[in-house]
Amino acid sequence: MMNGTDQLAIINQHIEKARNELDTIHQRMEAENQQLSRLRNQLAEAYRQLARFRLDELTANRVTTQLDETDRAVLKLLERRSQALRELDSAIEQSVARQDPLNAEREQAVRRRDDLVKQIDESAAEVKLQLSRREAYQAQEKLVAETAARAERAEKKAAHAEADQEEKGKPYRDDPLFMYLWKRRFLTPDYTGGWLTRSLDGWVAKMIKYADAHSNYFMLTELPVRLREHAERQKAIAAEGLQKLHDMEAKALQIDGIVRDKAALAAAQKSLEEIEARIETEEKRHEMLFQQRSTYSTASDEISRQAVDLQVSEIKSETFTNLYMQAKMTSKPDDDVIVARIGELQQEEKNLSVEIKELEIQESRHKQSFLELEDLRRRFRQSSYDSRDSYFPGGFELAVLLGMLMSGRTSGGDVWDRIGRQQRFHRPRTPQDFGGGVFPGGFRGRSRGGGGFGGRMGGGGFRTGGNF
Amino acid sequence: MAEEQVSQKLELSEVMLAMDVVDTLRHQRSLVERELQSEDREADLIEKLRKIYAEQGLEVSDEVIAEGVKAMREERFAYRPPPGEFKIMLARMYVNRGRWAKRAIWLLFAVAAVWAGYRYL
Repeated sequence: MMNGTDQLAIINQHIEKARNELDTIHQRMEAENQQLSRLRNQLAEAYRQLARFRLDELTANRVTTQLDETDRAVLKLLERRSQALRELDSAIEQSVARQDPLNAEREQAVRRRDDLVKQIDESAAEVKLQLSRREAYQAQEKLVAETAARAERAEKKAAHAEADQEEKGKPYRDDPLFMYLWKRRFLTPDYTGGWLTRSLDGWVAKMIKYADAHSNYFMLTELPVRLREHAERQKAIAAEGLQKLHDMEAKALQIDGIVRDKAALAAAQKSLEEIEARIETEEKRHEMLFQQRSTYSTASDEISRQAVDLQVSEIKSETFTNLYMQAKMTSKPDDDVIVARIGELQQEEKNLSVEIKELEIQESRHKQSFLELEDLRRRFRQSSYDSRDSYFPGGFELAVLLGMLMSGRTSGGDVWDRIGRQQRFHRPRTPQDFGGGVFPGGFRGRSRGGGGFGGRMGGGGFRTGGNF
Repeated sequence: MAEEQVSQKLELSEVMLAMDVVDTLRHQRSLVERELQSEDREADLIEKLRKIYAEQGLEVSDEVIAEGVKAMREERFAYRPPPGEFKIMLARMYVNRGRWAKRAIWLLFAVAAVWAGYRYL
């Protein structure tokens, strides 16, 4: 059995691992993109040499000047990009650095909340024990149990009657003679008809003993309605009894220590929510920066695109394509070496582009699992699953599930469902509704994904639901 | 008048409860089969039913329960449409008069048209 705090640590480890893997991929992509840029520079240089061999001096000068200008523009763009990337990396580092103290602050707030919950639980359990010795309380408790059971049975009965109505009314509805008279509202003040119709309707009614059937069918339809009303009345009685019991408990709970602790718990929960909101904001900022980093690594940012467009449009321009084709077709020992070099560089560029594409696919998959892990961690915290009283049964291997998520074999939604199915909270000694609610804001405070305790009976663990 | 209405409503409630007794017995067939083997054990059955109703917060008198048990034996609340005799067939034709009368008028009109065509054209 592992507690929620340990499980959160496992999630954190996996997030760290996913971040490192993404960093590695980003570095590889960065290196390969730089290599690609260098290759294109070399290609441009080879074209320059080819132009000097193949073209007259004037044209060659014009072409090489143009290439030089492109090189300079590309260089400037790449410098700008490097500067932006440095700023982005620094912003990411700062964001990560800001998250650490926030998480530590949150851990402290969770501990404080858990301590207060325990303290209140202990005191309230003591109050309950003392209260249980009083006759008036015992009698009220007994009454609540009885009225609740009665309300539950009445509810079941009403539900049964509603379900039965369809089946029991079928013979009536299947008989056209009965339904004819029923629809004409025969034997009611609303019935209308001439002398002949009345006589013939009366003849039909006598034949099917409509008077009895009408009364029975009416009762059949009315019975579920009345039973439902009865069930609602019983529920109201049960609620009233429970309220009275809660009032007795609330009065007994008005002890200085408990009142003080409850106020402190409310404040601790509020502070926890505030920290959580700050963490969320910082995580969102980090996510946004990370997305930007990703666009730089995949060279899909605006500056990279401009630089690549410039390089590619230059080296793949019609002038050089024609020049290269002519040089390839006419064998001249002087430029054969350059032509061969251009061929090699083009092949290298192609290979490198393929590798970069593969890395992009990997990066996209890793980024997806990284974001899903972060989302999972957020939900885990918001559901208070990282509380000291939260636990997971033996045999539940969160690390394995997270490993599967990182390798793309399962989705974040599936992992969250599994977590929701396995997670339990230790039951407090005091029923959660004791005194109308001992713990302000619920046993575990904020519980978007489920949580909290129901019922007045103790023992065992309590599982919560959860949505992704 | 008001008293009469209250009494009528109460009466209706009692009949309804008797009807519900039949339902309860229908749902708890094993209880009925065991207890209704002889008249002597009817008292036990009434007692058990009274307890069931009390547990649901319904106060049902022994008379109403006995009435329900009797109604179940007589199958009083069950509806059985009359078997298909000739007069039932006539009654069905009567209640469906709206449907077949329209068809008959159309048929008459068609016959008249054919006859007129044959006679005058």
